[in-house]
This record gives sequence, structure tokens and C-alpha cells, in this order.
Amino acid sequence: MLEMKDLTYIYEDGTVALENISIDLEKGKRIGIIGSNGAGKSTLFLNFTGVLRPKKGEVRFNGKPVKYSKDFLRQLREKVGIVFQDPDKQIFFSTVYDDAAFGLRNLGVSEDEIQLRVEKALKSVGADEFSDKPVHFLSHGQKKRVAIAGVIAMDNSIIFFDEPSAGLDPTVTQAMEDILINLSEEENKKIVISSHDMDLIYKICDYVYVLDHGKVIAKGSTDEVFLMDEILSQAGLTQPWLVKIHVNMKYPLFKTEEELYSYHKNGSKKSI
Amino acid sequence: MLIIDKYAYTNNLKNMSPKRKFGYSMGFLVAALINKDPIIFIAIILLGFIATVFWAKIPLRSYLLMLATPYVFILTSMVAIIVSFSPDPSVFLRSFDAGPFYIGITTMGLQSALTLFLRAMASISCLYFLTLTTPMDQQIYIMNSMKIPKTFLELYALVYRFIFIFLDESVEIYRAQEMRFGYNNLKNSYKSLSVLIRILFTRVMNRYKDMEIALDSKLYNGDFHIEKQRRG
Repeated sequence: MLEMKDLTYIYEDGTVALENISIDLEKGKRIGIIGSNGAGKSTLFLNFTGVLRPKKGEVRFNGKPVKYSKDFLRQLREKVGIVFQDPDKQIFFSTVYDDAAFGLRNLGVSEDEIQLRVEKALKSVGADEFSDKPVHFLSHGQKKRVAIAGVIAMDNSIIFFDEPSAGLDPTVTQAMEDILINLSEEENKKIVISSHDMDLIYKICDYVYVLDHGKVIAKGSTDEVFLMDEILSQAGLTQPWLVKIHVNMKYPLFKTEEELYSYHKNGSKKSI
Repeated sequence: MLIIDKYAYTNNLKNMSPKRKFGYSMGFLVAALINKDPIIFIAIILLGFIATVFWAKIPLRSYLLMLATPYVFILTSMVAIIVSFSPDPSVFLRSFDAGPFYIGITTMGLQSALTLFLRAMASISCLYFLTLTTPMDQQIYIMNSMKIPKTFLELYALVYRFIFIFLDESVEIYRAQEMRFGYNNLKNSYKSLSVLIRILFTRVMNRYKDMEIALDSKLYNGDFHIEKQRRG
């Protein structure tokens, strides 16, 4: 539904931010874009959402190249949402409810339906408990939830998450993972995550693109990509810890830590 | 965090109908503006004090500190009203000779200064009651029902939101400077303050750019939808 074909993006000062990038979001349900700081992840997302215009190549939406007209971008953004890294930059209202309802009100949805959808969205990210507090009283993690609720309420079919776990504590990171999985499994949304948190990507994504200095240097299923140790080092990344255990300690490759623990438990029983 | 804002969201009357709070304070404000009797002024000041401190449960200390600021301004301006000049010493209660004319205090001046002082204090206590008990969303609700233009309300809501963002940023910059002795003497303080203002300005511009992007992705089309704020 959304793909990038040989896209090149150059900043005003001449820096090549993205070079000949081709990404097809049909490859997986939860796609990871990994790369070090400054690899071009955020620029990539802004190109996907039509905020930035590529110098060469194109973004294709439903098979048609994206046109940068108001009408076309509106159609695109009704289907494609983005959650930015810093929640303070995307929360415009001081009341949680009004901020989550903002996008829907822009679309002219009726207030009754807005209430249904906003309350559902706030509940699904666990923001309903503090929805009567003003935004500037909330913690970073709470603001992040509000920002996500505002995007979920739009009911987009593709949602981009720019560094969803940045600056969050372990509990909130875990909650974030649950939210992402739930969106994809229960709500059937396509999720695209940019991150340099390898454990998060390994746990959640099923297809991964590796970005380095504005180029895609590897792509493939999560298992394949994370076994390419040299590629990851080149991109300034490391393997997720479960993969390290597999490579260095000859354990089988596990997807979750629970799998490892139960394997270990059963294995040690056998040896007794 | 602004202290007035904190109290507006946490006081004992935060859930009371905003129209009632507005009605009370405006009623007494109008009374204070047309009244001339000192007893009634004092009654309004006391009532405002009781309502704010005992009813809304705003801590006494903070309330008095907040009142102290306008007091200082009013008292200094009182001087200009009380003191008058005249070539004829008989109009004054007390006066002294300052060469070509006399400087002194008249009964009229004293009286009008007292009325003015009490009126100002009574009005302030009415307005303090309102601002300390009514959170921003309720203020907007009242203004909206008074048919105040939407553009003004949108600005009001956005400015309010951004006050906190920039306040936080300036506090962060200030602390970072202070940790590295940016304010240890007068010269450094001037320098650091100018740097702070410059950085804050560039951050405002960057934020504005990021905000545009976020607004686009939320399908913003020129309206901030203030009219439907506040449910139930």
C-alpha cells in the first residue's frame, strides 16, 4: 500500500540524507527501520508521510506516486499516521481529551463518534486514568501515551513510530511494546518502527531494514538481519541479547526471553 | 510550574460549576467598582480572603505572598495621589515650605487615596478568587459561552500550552548555565542571560517548524476547535 522507490533526499545544505532507498511496507506486518543516530531514520519517515519531498525517486501510495497537493496529502494522511519522538511537539492542547480528538475534529467527524473513538484510544494506551489532568502536569511517559492516543483515534491503517521507546523507563517501554503488538494483532494496523533499541525491534518486528549513512545496507526477516553481525557493526549497531546468546553460547535462537527460560528449565531437568 | 496554575487545578473548588465561580467573583468585582463605602470594601476583601483560603483551601502563606506583589505597586502609586503641591499652605492638613510652593497632604487626597487603595485591593481579591479556583479549560468554557471571538480563544489556549513548554526550557537552560557558574557575578549573569534569550529564541523557531509538521500530519486546516472543549 505504501512503498518507496529509489528515493533520494538531499537537504538544503547539500547533505545527502537518503540515497536510492527502496522500501516496501508490504514485506511485513511490523517493520523495523534500524540505524544509528543520524542514519536518516527520521528523514525517511518524513518522506513517507509526505512532509518532505524527495529529490529523486518516489513514494507510492496505493500504486500511485504521491502528489504533493493538498488533496492528495490529505488522502494520504487519513491512512498514514505518525507518532513523533518528542510528545511535547505534537500535543497542542492542555486537555488530554481535546488533544486526542484534534485529528478527528479536523476531519469533521461528529462529536458523538469522536467521543467513542477518543475514549477507546485513550483506554487502549492506558491514558484514561489521567485524562482529566492538564497536559503540563503529566510525566514524559504519560505524554507519550497521549500522543499515541491522538494518532490511534484517527484509525489510520499505517502508523509510523519514531523512536517509540526513547527516554522511557522499563515499565513504560514494556507498556509501549504491548501497545504496538496490540495495534498490529488486534487492530490489524501496519506498524513501522524506527529505533536503535535492538531488543525492542527484535521482539516486535517481523521484517527489518538496516539504514547506514542514508543507504539501506541490509534487509530481511528479523532473524536473518540480526545474524548479520558485520552489517550491524558497520551500521553502528549491535545484536539483540537473545541473538548474542544464540551466537556465542550455542543456544537455539529464541524470540522471547520466556522461551529461553523455559528451555533452560526443561534442559536442566533432563540432565538431572 | 506556575503556582497559580497549580492551585487552579488542585483547589477545593475545581469541580464547582465555572459559571458560579465566575458569577461570584464578577458580582463582587462590579460591587467593588461602584461602591464608595470603606466598610463594604473591607467586607469584600474579607469575603474574598475567606472564600479563597477557607473555601477553596489555598494555603494562607501562598495567598498572602501573592497579594504582596500588587500591594507594593499600589502603595507606591498611593504616594503620588496623597502628596500635592500648592502656593497656599491653608489647603493642607500638614505641609512644609519648599520655596516657591508648599508640599503637603490634603483631606481630599487622603480620602481618594484610601478609596482607591481599598477598591484596588477588593478587585484584586475578587480576581484572585477566580484565577486561583478556575482552571484554563473552564476559563475558556466561560469565555466561549460569553461569545468571545474564537480566534482569541484559540490564541489563549495555544499561548497557555506553550507557556509551560518554554518555561521548562528556560529553566533547563538556566540550570545548565548556573551549574557552570554562569551567574556567579554580575558580568557573567548579563552574558548568560543574553545567551539564554538567544537560545530560547532559536528553540522557539525550531519548535515552530516541528509543530507545523505535526499539525500537517494531524490534518490541521486552520481551526483549533475550541468551541467544543469541555465535556459534560
